[in-house]
Amino acid sequence: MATKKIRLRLAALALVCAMLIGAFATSTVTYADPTEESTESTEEPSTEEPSTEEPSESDPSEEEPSEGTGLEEGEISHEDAVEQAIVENPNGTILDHELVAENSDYELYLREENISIIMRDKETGAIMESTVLDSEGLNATWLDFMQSGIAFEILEGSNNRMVGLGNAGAQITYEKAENGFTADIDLTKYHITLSVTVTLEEDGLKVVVPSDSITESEELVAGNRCYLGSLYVFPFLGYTNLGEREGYMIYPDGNGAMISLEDNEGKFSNPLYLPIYGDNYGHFSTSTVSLLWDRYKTINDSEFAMAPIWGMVHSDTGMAYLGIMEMGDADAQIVLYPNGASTPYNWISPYFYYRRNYMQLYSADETTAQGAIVQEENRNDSDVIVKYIFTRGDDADWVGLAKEYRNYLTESGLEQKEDDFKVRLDFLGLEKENWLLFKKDVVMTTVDDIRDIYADLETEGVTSLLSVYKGWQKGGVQNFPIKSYSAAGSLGGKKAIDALFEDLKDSSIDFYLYQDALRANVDTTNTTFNVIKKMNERRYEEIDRTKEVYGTFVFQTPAQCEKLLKSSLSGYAKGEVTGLALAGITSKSFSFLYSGVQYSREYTLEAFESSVKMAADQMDVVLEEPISRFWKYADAIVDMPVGSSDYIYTTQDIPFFAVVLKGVIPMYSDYVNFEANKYEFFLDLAVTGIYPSWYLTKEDSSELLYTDSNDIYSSRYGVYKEAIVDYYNQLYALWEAVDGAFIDEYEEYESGVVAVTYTNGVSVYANYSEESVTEDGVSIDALSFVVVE
Amino acid sequence: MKKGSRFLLMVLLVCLFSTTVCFAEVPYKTYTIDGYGSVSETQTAYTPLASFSKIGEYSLMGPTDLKITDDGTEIYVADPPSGRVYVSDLEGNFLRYYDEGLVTPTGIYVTEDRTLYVADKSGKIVVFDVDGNTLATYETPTHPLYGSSPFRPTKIAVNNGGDMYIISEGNSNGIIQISPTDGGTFLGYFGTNAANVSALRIIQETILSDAQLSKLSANIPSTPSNLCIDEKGLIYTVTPGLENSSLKKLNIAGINLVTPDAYDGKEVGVATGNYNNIYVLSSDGYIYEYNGEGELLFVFGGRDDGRSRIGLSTIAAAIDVDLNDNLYIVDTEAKKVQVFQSTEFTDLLHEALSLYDSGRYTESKEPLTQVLEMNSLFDYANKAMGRAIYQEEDYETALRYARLSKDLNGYSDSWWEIRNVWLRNNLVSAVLVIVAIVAVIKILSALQKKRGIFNGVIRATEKIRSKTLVKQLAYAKYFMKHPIDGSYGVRWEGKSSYVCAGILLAIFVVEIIFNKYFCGFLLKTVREGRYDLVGDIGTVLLVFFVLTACCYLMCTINDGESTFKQLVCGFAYCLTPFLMIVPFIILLGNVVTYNEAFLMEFANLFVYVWCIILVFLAIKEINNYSVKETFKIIFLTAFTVLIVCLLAFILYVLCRQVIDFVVDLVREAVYRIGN
Repeated sequence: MATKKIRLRLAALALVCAMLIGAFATSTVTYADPTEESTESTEEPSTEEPSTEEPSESDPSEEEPSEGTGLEEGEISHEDAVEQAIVENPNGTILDHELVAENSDYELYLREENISIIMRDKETGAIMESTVLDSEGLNATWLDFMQSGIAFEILEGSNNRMVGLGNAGAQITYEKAENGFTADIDLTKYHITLSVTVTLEEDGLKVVVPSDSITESEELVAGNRCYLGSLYVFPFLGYTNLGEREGYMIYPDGNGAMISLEDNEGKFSNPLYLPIYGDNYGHFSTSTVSLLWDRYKTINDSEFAMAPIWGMVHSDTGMAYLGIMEMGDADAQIVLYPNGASTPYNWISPYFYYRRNYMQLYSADETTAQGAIVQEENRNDSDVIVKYIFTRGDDADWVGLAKEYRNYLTESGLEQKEDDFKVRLDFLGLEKENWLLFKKDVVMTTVDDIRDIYADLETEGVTSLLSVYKGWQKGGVQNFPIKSYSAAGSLGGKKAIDALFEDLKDSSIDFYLYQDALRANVDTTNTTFNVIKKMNERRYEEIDRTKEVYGTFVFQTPAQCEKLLKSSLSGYAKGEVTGLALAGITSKSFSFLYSGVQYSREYTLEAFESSVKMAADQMDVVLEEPISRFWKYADAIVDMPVGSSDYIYTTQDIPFFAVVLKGVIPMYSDYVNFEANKYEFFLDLAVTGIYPSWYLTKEDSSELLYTDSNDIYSSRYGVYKEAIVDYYNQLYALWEAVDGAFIDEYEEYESGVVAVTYTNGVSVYANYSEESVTEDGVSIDALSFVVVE
Repeated sequence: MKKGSRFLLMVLLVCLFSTTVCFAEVPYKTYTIDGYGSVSETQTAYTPLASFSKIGEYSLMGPTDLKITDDGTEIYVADPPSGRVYVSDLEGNFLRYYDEGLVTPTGIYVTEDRTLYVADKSGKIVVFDVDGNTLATYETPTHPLYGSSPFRPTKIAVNNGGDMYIISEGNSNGIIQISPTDGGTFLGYFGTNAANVSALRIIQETILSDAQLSKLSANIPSTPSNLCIDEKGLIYTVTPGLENSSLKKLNIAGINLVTPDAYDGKEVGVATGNYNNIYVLSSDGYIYEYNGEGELLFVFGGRDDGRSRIGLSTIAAAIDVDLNDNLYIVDTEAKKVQVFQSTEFTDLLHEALSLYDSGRYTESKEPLTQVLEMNSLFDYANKAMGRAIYQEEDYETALRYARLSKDLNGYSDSWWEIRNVWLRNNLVSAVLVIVAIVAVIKILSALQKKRGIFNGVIRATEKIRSKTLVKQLAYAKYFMKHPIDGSYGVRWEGKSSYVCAGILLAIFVVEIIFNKYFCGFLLKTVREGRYDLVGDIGTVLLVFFVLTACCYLMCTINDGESTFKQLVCGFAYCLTPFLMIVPFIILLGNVVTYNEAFLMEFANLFVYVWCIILVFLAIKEINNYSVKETFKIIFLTAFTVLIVCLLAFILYVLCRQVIDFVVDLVREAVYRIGN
């Protein structure tokens, strides 16, 4: 339930993106110079000057809309573009690129001058280029960037420069191998060296930038030391120009999203940055989010990238690739430029941070932002490994890429989990409200209440359930961290919880205690030590001023998280607790300062992984919205997003991760309670195979009015019983038909019908429209679904 | 919810845009406001449905106004940079445009027969028929009453009689009303906003010369930013920065009929919905939906935070709503029209709203129940439910709903009924109990007279009463009735002590707290469940001691004869009426309704006047002042308190700055050393 979580959000983006207003203008295109300096941006890789020029595709002074080819200047027709993208007999050279390696399906071509590669499908002849040969109307800096296979951002003093190989004065020496090459790059202008190894393996293309190959000299450039800020790896691989080609780019926003390769006609002037595994809280800046009445945050947090993947699909030539960051993913992002955003090209690139600028504040008040822009002390020392998996023909679509990713994960050790259909019913136990000088218990659901609810549902035939018990601990649902197994007495105490676990042992109900292993409530625990500081030496705080009882949480250091998790695990072991729902460390991560030492985000993720593993080794664990690194430890994923963050770029949401994970790990949705359009959501669940979830209380949610959970405006079991039984029966039938199978095909029809076919041949037709529709001879009532065996 | 009814509802939700893109979550939260003015989150009210930046082949270049025709089939969009008014169907498909004679068309109005009125900021109103023929052009009114303001029409609304209501930029006289007769007759100004009259302004106007005043920014009424008209001919205006007058619903006489309970000072658009509801748009993209009385139902949307998500605005300019409750927003900066679709939850609320407004209370219960099932904290629904249940004479339940939504009138009415029933049922037994108690007392006193059975008790009581502290406490009662004698006693006979004053003060604090938190729902000023005891105790003690200390200081330099102790004790005794009477007021407060609230007000007034008289007499008598001297001391004390507050404030600011300075210094030093 992403909307319900208190998540302070990075807002520097507003500032940064304002600066990014690209200069895509009229049909004679002028583009902003990416080397213009930016001193304020410490968060984003962009460096363009704002422009006041405005996109306008049609001149209204003309009487009639322009007729004719509909092509922009520099754009060629779709047929010509496709023709150019298929090379039948290359004879070892394509567009100045020489063949350097091949596997059974693909050939790798290289142009040494600018480390430009071309991938060619041997069967179809389809190619994907990685650099732009020439482009009119773009300035030299952009052109240089686009003509570089590897591109950089260099930190020079307080400036963040986006540079290509040419402008960095790169001297490149090659070492060829049988299946690829290694390029040693010396950026002479900035005294930085690194080496890039590209190999074409049987299962795809692999690019490696070893951390120990990177050197940064102490020599000064214009009085400043230069550092390697970040790295673009083949940013233009598979790029297309305006709307010349058919296809789309996919990016891991929420469950997955895609943007079509059509001509946007200047609709988008900014690129989209998608940080892998969400924002890095160590660089989180307190900034101006637009607040309603200066107090209420009205904008929901966006979904985050659960996995370090992206994709480019050329539907017309039947060639697609899935990019995977194998290493270096801890501090990285996906950069997506649709046409119109600075360039007329559609491109999507991995972007790895090595070192960032940040604002070292002098003032006590973080909002006044007086300070100096400085560089992080340490460079991220993780290697960068990028893997590209190519598909062709019918598999050159997002479903094909999702299937490839599923295979990839399975091969890298993700085991198929037990996947019985269950409805997830989470319970809220104890909350607190202010009462005179103290905090008063607000008991919402006791252990006995839970038993009653189970018994009540059993009489309706609802027996296969999964429950996460939130607020079971002493001090209530806001009381974190949990240090030991000590349950709230007013709910029945440890004894009652142990008894419940004992009784549920042989039933089909899985019961989990909720533990946020990351956050610490500053009002209920001592947070002087063992909490993280951001790079600017300020303590990271999640503050919600609208909460009346508590409202401030901090993040504990990974070591402290592990220590407390360990002590609580040993407590659970002494009791009867067999299931733990882990949160916090499963989805949030950061680089941080502690005791003056800088720790990288990779360090944090590794520490969290060892914590999650420790818990998984000892008991059943479900993970709340976990990042891909932790999937292998999860018995189930809870709060799996069904949609995306609704970026304006998104042509369409795609259930990418649902296709990847359905049949591998059971997934449970966000709470149905808070969905405004429940019927549509129900169809989403049927289509994606994600199981429904409710957040329930025995008492009416109006009891929560004066607590910090007052955003839970509807949760009483009595209200939802009927819906639970209804969903259960309908979705159980669906699950029985597809049990054990994976999603194989996904098709959308004009009529508003979505058809999903599983590997066992069973299809699910969901009709999102308001009229009954017949597709493939299957008649589907309005807003319902049909299972076809 | 039954599947059937849910299905029916979804079918009722006629969706005009067939789209397979389904967004499970929206980028913004939806809030509502409760009777305490506090804001809480609620179900998503509207979801972003579509947006279009082009009408057919034409890109919008900076749209500023938008109107949907009464039959809900066409959208008119004014696009000043292109000098055109575009017409499209609801999906953004181009139908036609109007541009003849238009320079900067910023505002539009479309009548039922598709007559288009365009407010052109270059200084005219142009009227087109549906085919684009110019029917009329109206320029600056020549009537002497119009004055000399430039005529720069930005928005327009037209009533059934063809009278135009025009907002002209920079014209603070109000909305210009022009009748179509005789090529445009100026009828006068309408709905003029009041000028801002702040205390500072009054002082400035009193003391400054005309020349100085002319240098200040002119104090002229704000010009509304937008207006609309409903089918009854009521005019709705929005004016940024007028707080609870920012939204006005003006009848034909120009009288405002609503007071909005939420606003953000950037109102730019207004539209009326299909249920007597009102939509207001702020330029930051917040969309407010009010019921007909100006009570906020929802606020949602917001300013794009730079992440470019749909449903958020950059600079929003105008709003309208179609027959299916889809909202259309134009965004001047983002150059697009955004469409929002109401959710199942909102549809239920609208249904309840229209049933309730038409007095069909019992019928409105069904949708209200569903609304409350989805959000049991939704204030408006609780209130309406309480009223509906009240009509059914289930007063206990109505009371509960009224309490939940802080509907004081509803609570009072329900409570009156409940109390009435209780009285009817228990009057006889209550009388019997009183008679019994009186009888028992009579019997016991008779027994005491005859046999002295309570002699032991009486002796013990007297023993306690003879203790000094108890005597001092008892003296409070005497002081209350005989302040002059009482003050004499405090001054000369040592009738008091710090301990005694302390005890009285402590009781005072306790009573203040009880009075604040347990005085009965109708009279309570703080919200249920909120306590700030430390603050309460601190405030009472601080006020008491600062006043006493300041008074003492003034007395000592004005030949006063009191000691500090005497003043403290005297003032403590002055609180006695409060101590004696307020407990009864608290008890009474828990049983009264609004009908008897005057009793409470009277009792409170009585207590406060009594206390003030006591304080006055205490100062006078203890210091041996004349009446005139006493007044002087009171004024001086007030002045001293002011000075003390000022001093405290200055000290606070200074300390704060020193602390900030030290912190900054240390941080910078740490950083410099670290590097």
